Amino acid sequence: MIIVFLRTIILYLTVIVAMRIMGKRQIGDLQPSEMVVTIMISELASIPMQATGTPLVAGIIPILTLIAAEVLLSYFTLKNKTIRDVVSGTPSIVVQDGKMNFEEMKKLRMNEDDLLEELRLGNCPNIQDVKYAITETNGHLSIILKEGAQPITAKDLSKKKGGKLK
Amino acid sequence: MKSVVASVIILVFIFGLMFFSSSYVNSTANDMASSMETILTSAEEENWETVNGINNENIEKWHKISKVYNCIFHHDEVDKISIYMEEIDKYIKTQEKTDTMAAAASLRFLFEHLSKKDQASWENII
Repeated sequence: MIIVFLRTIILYLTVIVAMRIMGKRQIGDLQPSEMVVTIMISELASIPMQATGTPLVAGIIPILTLIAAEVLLSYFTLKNKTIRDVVSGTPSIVVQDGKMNFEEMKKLRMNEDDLLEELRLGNCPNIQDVKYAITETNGHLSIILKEGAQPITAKDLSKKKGGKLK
Repeated sequence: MKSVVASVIILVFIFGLMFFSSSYVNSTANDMASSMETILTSAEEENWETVNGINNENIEKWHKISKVYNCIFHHDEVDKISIYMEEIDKYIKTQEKTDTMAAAASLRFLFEHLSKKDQASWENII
């Protein structure tokens, strides 16, 4: 029993260290490679936790290797755009001037309902109001509204009055 | 940048550990396998004094080696060798020729298997 307890503590600390080295992103904001590493780490840590016959090193070494590979890969993606495009992909414009870009949607395997749902979730029920809708590399949909459909800002108000913002 | 440096240090540590474990397993497993070969030939000639001497040395060596092996290999594999080591010890003490030879052959196979298992070959990777 004490062996399982100690192994769990060691693996827990290893995963904490690993996650701290990886960075501060939320699960929803993870890039594909980071998502893969996160899922693999959780699996790798849980197996040697229970299987006392498996050496602890067999769980720790893959976790450390994945983290090192992930950090180095993100460092190289930071330095080189080609690597960044290959690893993280590029954003896709799915709506342009209120019209759906079916070619891009086909590449993303996204149907019309999915797109309209994403737009509604982004507080944009009318596709005609959309100047651009872009699927980002982390899967989020960024919506840029047409000028007339954009919410009013303090800057707009000051323009109308001809005054200056303090 | 701090995390990049930490990652490089982790990788260097892993490579160091890999090099150490590989060379340690290679030398100790081959040494134990050749000892088992000597036991096999000596037992065949019924030279029990030599067999007993080598066996005592092996038990001492295995006591140290098994601690490191437990950190590298699955514990079941290490336990299997420990069981055979116990068996061969009793067979040698009672001078059971056939059983001693059988246990020595099994141990030789297991040590050679561990040595091969730790090598960086396509066979092991795939």
